[in-house]
Amino acid sequence: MTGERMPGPVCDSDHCITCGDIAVEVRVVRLMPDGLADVDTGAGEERVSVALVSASPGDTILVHAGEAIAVVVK
Amino acid sequence: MRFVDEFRDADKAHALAAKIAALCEPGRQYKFMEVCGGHTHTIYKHGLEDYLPEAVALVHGPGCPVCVIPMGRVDDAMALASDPDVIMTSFGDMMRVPGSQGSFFDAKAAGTDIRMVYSPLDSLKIARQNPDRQVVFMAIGFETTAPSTAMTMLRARAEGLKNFSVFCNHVTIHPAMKAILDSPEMGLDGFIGPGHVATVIGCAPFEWVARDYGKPVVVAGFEPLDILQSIYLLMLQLSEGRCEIENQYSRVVPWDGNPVALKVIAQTMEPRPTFEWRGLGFIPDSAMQVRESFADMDAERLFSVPGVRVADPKACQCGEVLKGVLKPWECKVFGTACTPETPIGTCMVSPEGACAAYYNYGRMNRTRVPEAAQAGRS
Repeated sequence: MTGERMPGPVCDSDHCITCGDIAVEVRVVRLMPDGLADVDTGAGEERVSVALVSASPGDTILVHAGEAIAVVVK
Repeated sequence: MRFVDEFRDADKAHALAAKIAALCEPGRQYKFMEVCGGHTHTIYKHGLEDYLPEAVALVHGPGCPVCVIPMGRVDDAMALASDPDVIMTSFGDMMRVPGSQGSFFDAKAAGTDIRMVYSPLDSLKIARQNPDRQVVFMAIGFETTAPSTAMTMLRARAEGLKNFSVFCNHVTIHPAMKAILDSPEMGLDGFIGPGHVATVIGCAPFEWVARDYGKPVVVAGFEPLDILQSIYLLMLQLSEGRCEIENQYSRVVPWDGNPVALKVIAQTMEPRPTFEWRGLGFIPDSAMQVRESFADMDAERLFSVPGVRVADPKACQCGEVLKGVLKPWECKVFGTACTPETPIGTCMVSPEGACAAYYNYGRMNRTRVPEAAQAGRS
């Protein structure tokens, strides 16, 4: 087994999803009901929660584990 | 690349290296701890140590939530997951953390229903799709992930979901920093503060580090220039005889943090009397547990959790690495018996673990940039 990768999906080396340290900056495309929003990640659209921030379409937000924790001031 | 090019500019990095070198007092050694695993990752990935004079050492801190989980807690989670009524959900890198009987991946291969999710919200989806099974989310992380877990619990409550619960392993950064400051062997000159923890809790809660221990903290972003600038700001404080909390990452971190996030955490979780950290042992009030008012979503109340305590493998020196006493490559099994593919210790599992970061990026010969090499020379 030594030298072989463990089976199943693994995190890529640039992105740890358990810690906010490498949280992702994304752009809000549209706000959705229930505190959710569709965002542009640069590699496609994803739906995340924006319930904890005051974000509008066009804003860049910092998302960690599917939850926006800050609006980035550009 | 979007959003990051301006923070990876080589000319600016060289200029900062020169400014840092100019602040080095001849004969003085400087030792700064980057608390956060994300910073460790950036430092190795971008070779930032090559931009620092020999007199400036970076010590890697305990801020990788995967790395600080003790083996016993993994075994507890495994015991929960082995209930045939349970679907355990977990973040990806937690899947590879070894317990005494193997990792989540090993258990999954043996038939246990453990599923990887990218967000606790995905766990809710699984709960909706499996109303006859109990979905337990393995919640880990510092104050950065706690809001996500808290919001998910509130959403589950609002939806009336009855089959979603949380195995809460959220930890808090301050008690760990205090434990490190109280270690006599450390001798730190200051901290590169955890930027995304501060996004949630703010900068003010770090004031005790300067007030009670006389160490400066610069809350830092995660791009190479963020970290170099933070080291410069720390050196500037030392050279001017100041000791303060500064916010280098003001484009993201408000001084007071995110009050809404803090409110939802407080609504759903409360401090845990004590929690075991790998390498640091039991630290009082260093973790969160689910509040009584959310007892119906607390896996520790809903299921019988054995509360296993397991000693780390003898060969593993993660504890010393987490405390910054040992550099990753000084561990006996680093890169031989312990690799990212077959980790023995947690520091080799997560990309943010100091060992994995060094294994992936730090093993080649490097040369200091001229600006850093000139430090201390007249």
